[in-house]
Order: sequence, then structure tokens, then C-alpha cells
Amino acid sequence: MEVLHVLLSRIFSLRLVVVAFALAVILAPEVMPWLGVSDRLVLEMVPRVWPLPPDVSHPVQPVWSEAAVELVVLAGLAFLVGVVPAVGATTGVLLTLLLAIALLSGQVALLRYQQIWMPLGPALGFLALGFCVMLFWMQPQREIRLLRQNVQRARIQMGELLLQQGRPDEALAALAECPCNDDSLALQYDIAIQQERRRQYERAHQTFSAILAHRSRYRDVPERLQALAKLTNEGGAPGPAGLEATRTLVLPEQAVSRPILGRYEIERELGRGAMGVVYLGRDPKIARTVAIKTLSYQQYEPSELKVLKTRFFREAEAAGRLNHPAIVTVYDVGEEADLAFIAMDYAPGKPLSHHGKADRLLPLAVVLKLMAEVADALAYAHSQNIVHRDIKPDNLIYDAQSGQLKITDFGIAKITDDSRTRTGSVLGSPLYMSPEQLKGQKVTGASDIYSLGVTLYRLVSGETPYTGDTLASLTYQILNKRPRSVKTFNPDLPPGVVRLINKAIQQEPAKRFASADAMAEALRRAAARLPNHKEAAV
Amino acid sequence: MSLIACGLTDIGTRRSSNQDSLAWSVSRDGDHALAVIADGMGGYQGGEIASRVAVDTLMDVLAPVLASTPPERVAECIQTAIKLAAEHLEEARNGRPELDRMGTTVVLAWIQRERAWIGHLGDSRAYLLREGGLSQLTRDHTVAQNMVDDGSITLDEVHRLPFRNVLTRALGACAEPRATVDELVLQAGDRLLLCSDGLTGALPDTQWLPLLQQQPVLDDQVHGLMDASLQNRADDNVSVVMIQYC
Repeated sequence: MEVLHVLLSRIFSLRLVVVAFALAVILAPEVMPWLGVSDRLVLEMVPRVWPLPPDVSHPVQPVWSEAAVELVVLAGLAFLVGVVPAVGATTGVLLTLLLAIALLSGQVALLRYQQIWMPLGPALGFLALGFCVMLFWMQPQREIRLLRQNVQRARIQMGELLLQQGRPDEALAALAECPCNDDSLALQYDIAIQQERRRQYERAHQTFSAILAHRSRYRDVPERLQALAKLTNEGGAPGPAGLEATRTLVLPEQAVSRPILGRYEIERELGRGAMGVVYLGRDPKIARTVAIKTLSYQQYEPSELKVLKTRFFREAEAAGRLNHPAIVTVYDVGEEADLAFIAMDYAPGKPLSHHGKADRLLPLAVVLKLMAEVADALAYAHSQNIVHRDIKPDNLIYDAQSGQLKITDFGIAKITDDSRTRTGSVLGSPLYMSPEQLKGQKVTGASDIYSLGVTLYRLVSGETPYTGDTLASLTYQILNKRPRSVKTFNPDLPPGVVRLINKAIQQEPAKRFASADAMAEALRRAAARLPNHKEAAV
Repeated sequence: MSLIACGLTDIGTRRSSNQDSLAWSVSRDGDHALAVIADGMGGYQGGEIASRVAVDTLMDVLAPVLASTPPERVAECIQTAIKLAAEHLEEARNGRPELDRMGTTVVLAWIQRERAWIGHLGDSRAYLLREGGLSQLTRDHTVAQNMVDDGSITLDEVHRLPFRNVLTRALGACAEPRATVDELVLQAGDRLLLCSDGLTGALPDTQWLPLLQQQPVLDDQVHGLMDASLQNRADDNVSVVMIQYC
């Protein structure tokens, strides 16, 4: 169909009239005797203006003249159909005029000096009339061309805008009808790259293939296609593959662009939390390194998801209001088709859980100093009406080199609280949870104080006040039993620190420290009473 | 005296899959009956598979020996079938990491004339309707139930618990699953009701009696409970089986 369409548009064009005219001039010149009008003028005028010397013979018409004229007509045809549309109307007029003058001068010169008569009149007539016809064709053609360029430019601009807004599929649709040129190919390439980054590997493959259909070697498209084919064959593409495969972003090899979440480029996986995978990412605009926590939608029923998402964004935004040197800053929250994410400050170092075993404990002075910093930060958060709800060594990131400590995951615990998961292990252990939290009662700053007390217990002894094989037995003990004394595990602990811990982990919230500030103060006093506190402080 | 049974399951109003499975069988002479409900968990797919495997295994193993098992061996027979179901679940899980977390609750009723045995794991329940009163025969294997039992919280506080959905016992989730099996003697007119937590979640058991008294036919009673729970926009799958001894 397309071939037919092209053929018809070519046939029914004014150019074809010019071609037919040329054929008529060559094949049946006798039908158009008026075309030879210039010949008659030349024959009459030349002898009058430059009389021939008497000794010169009369001009003759050589046998090859007819063939030569036909050649000139054909050359004129090529000029009109081929050259004139390309150079435009103005230049076309000038060139045609020059050509006509050249032909006429040649004819006159041959007649005057060589006594050869070339009947170029039909060729000249053809040139003049043919050019007029072409003018009729060129004007609308020019407008069509301008319009087409205009549309093409507009479509590419629209495509670029859509791509900037992160809508690569719509950008591609805008380009669909657009004739291919350098700009459209460049845009198509950019679209494919963004599709790659959004992990739409199959679509990226299609887009790259479409580029290759136009140009067999375009930038690094063949290499990218190869890498993509490998990636999709490995089953890494998102889709109905296994649950695990969809839960984590596949970090592809070098030839494929790194995935992006929102505006962040994903560098590598940092670990896995209760919610989902945590990635190391980078904000390319300001070259900032961020930790990105993801909440994978895969694990939830669609009906639960709406409530869960609302809470996720609300909590993350609340946490985003906190601004404290010992609290990991939340920069951004966002959403992709299959997950929601929180971008936060990347705190270098290791979680304090690394120092939660008896043989790896930090010096007591360091622990007390760090816990005082956490208590300070909690006091600040509580003053903003934000409770952490999940204080434990895992959520305290300590950089031994700089000595800096940061609390992470503010507000996030609440999101997973309500999970319908029925196996205790997935939610994490309630080892650090306060009794009131376990009972589902209102959680206040006092709960954070309790959890910080258990954390301190762990960091000075390598143990927790309660243990249990199962969630049920642990819950029972936390709610109903007295805690094991921390002195059992660390007999050298100063009595002041033991008292401090016991006060923090009281079952009754009212019997604990009145505020995180008070606890910070107590921690500092305990640190000051250590025999070698001066060295430790340095 | 003879036994009649009737059961129904529904996806509920908000779930995208039904992870409950149920089955029942009454012997031709009406002297023996077996009914099972399983409520699966561990992702959509896992939940469906787990409950199906459990119900199929229990029915396959227990139905043929329903009449021939001496009463003193019934409880042991139920435990053996439960163990076998757990093994089948393990086999189904093999090589499929996405089914790692699958498991299921089970509640079953085994009736030989007037003697009935109720076995269960998890929070699917059995109730007895006798002389216009309703009593719960099973005690949920949940962290929440433990907390209620030890006096840490009251029943009204259960819905606020962070771990309210966590089971202390389930098929496929613990290494040595053992059902709690209790025996009771039925009287004429008694009805046993087995259900998944979808029913109790959408329609508290305090509302059942008036509904059941409106309908004289067992079939209509089951439908009545189901319709009422769906009207309350049950957000979980709902399953009910009732057996009448008359």
C-alpha cells in the first residue's frame, strides 16, 4: 500500500508534466512549430548584424545536430526536475536565465564563426516553458516542506518535553509519525536510555532496535542491544518472574544504564530491611550520595496498598521535618510503578549491632557518650512530636573513624507495624519493644526511652533483658517477667550505669526517665563518674 | 440419629484471591462426618497452594478411615494426617523460593455418631451451637490470645496489637506441627460450626445467634452468615462449614 501511495504521489505531480513535455519536444517537434521561434529570429538577425564575409560558405546543419538538440533537451529536463527544486525559485530563475543565455550565445557563436547551424530553438522554448511549470509546482511544495519541518520540530520538542517529565512512552508516541532525522534519532536514543533506567528493558530493546532500523550503526546502540538481550534472557527484567527477582532491582552490567528511582541513580544494594531493599544511590544534579529505602508493593495485597502508601508518605514526610546532626536527614520520597522509596542521607559506618556481642563490645565510655547523643536527638524529635518507635542497635549507625553517630529509620517502624504478615520473623524481633508498644497501646517518647535502655543493656553486656525462642514467649516475658539483671552478664559495670539501665527499662512508662533529656543528662553524669573518663572524652 | 453438613467460601470484598480452602464429607448412612477448613498465608500464591494442599491431604488420609478408626485412636490419626500434610507442603515448596513463607491454619471436625473430635492449628475456629447458646470450642494459637490469657490485655485491645496477626502455631510454619485435639459428646440438635478468621473478622460471634435463629434449615443458616459478613464488607476471605447432629 505504501509503495502504491508513493508511486501515485510521484506520478501525479507537475514534474511529470515537465517530463512529458520534454518527451514531446524530442519525439514530435513538428507538433509544436512555435517552439522554433527563437531559431527563426537568430537566422534572420545574425546575418544582418554581422554580415558574413563573401568568401565564406553558407552555414550548414550537421547530421548530428538533431541528436545534440535532443541531448540538450534531456539535460534541460534533468536541470528542471533535479536542480531547480533543490536550489529554490530565485536561484532557479537566475540559473535558467544563464543557461538560456549560454545556449543562445553558443548557437550564435557556432553560426557566426563555424558556420554550423544548431536548431536549439525547441530546447530553449522547453527550458523557458518547463521552468514556468516548475514554478507552479515549487511554490506549494515549498510550503509543504516548511510545514513538514515545522511539525517535525514541534514533535521532537514535544518528545523532549515529555521525556524531561519522565514520560518516555508518550515521548516515543509523539515521535511515531515523525520522519526520521538526526534530531529524532538522538531523541529516540535518549528515550531508550531512560527506559533502560526505569528498568523497562524490553521497551528499551524495542526502541534501540527501531533506531538500528534507520541507521545500522548509531552511537553504541548495537552494544547496548546486546547487553539488554543478555539481561532479559537472564530473567532480570521486571515482570511475572519470581517474587525475589521482582523485589530487588537488577543492577545490570556496564553497557546498560544504571536504574534510576525518581532522580537518583542506583549504584548498588546496601542491604535488606523489614520493608524492602536498601540501595546506595546518587543524585547526579548535586552529586550527593543517598541511601534509598524501598517499599516493594509486590508483597502486599492490592487492597492493602492504598492505605499502606498513604501512611508511608505521611510518615516519611513527618520524618523529613527533622533536622538534627544525629538524625539521618530524609531528602525525598517518591514512587515508581512497583515500589515507593525514601531517599535519605547516606551515613557511613556500621550499625551498632556490630558491637552487640560480648566479644566485640565498645569501651563503656564510648557507649555512654553515644547513647547520650542518641538521647539528645530523641529529645529533639519528641519535642517535634515524632516518636521513633524502633530504637535498636541496628538503627544506630556509628562511624568509628569520625566518631559520628546517626539515628536512621525515623517513622518507618510504624509503617510495617500493621503488616498482615503472620510469621513473627519477618517483622523483626520485639526484643527492643516496650511493653506498651507490644500491647498496642499509645506509643510515646517513653517507649523510645525504654528501647534506648535495652539498646544500652545490649551494648554493655552483649545480651538483652529478655530472651525467647518465639515471639509468643518473648512477648510473655517482656509483659510479665522481671528483666535479667545486666550485672549477671557484666559484673564490672558501675552501679550507676546499672541503675540507669534499670530505670530506663521499667515496665511502667511513668517510672522511667521523665524525658529523653533527663536520660541524656544521666548518661553524661554516669560517663563523668567513670574512673578514666578524661582519657575517654579525648 | 444422622449428620448433615453444609459449607461455603467467599473471596470477600477486598482480597484479590481466595486463600481459604474447605471440604466436608458425610458417610452414606449419616453416621460419620469429616469437615476441614484451612486459611492459607504467605503471599497470594503461597496461601492458595498451602490451604489446598492441607485440605486435600487431610481429606485423602482421613475420609477413608473415618468409620473404621476406633475412638481411642482418632486423636493420633488426626496428628498423623497433620504431619503428612506438613510434609506435602514441604514438597510443594521445594525449588520454589517464592513459596518460602507459605503456611496454613487448619480446623477440622471428625464425628462418629455422637462423638466428635475437633482439631486445630492457628486461628481458624470451631464453635458449638447447643440449646440456643453459642460456645467457642477452640482457643486461637495466636500471640494475641496468649496475651489475653495471661492477662496482659483484654479482648477489646486485641485489634490494636502490632503482632495481632502472628500465629504461634501453623501448618508449614513450624518444624513439628501438632494440632490441639479436643473431644466432645454431641446431643440431639447440636450444630458444629467451623470458620476461618474472615467470618469472625467481619461478623463478631456475638451477632450470630439472632441470625441463625431466623433460619430453620442448615443450608440457609450458612448462607445467612456468609451474606451478613459480606454486607459488612468482609476484607478477608470468609469460609464456614456447619454440621448438624439430629
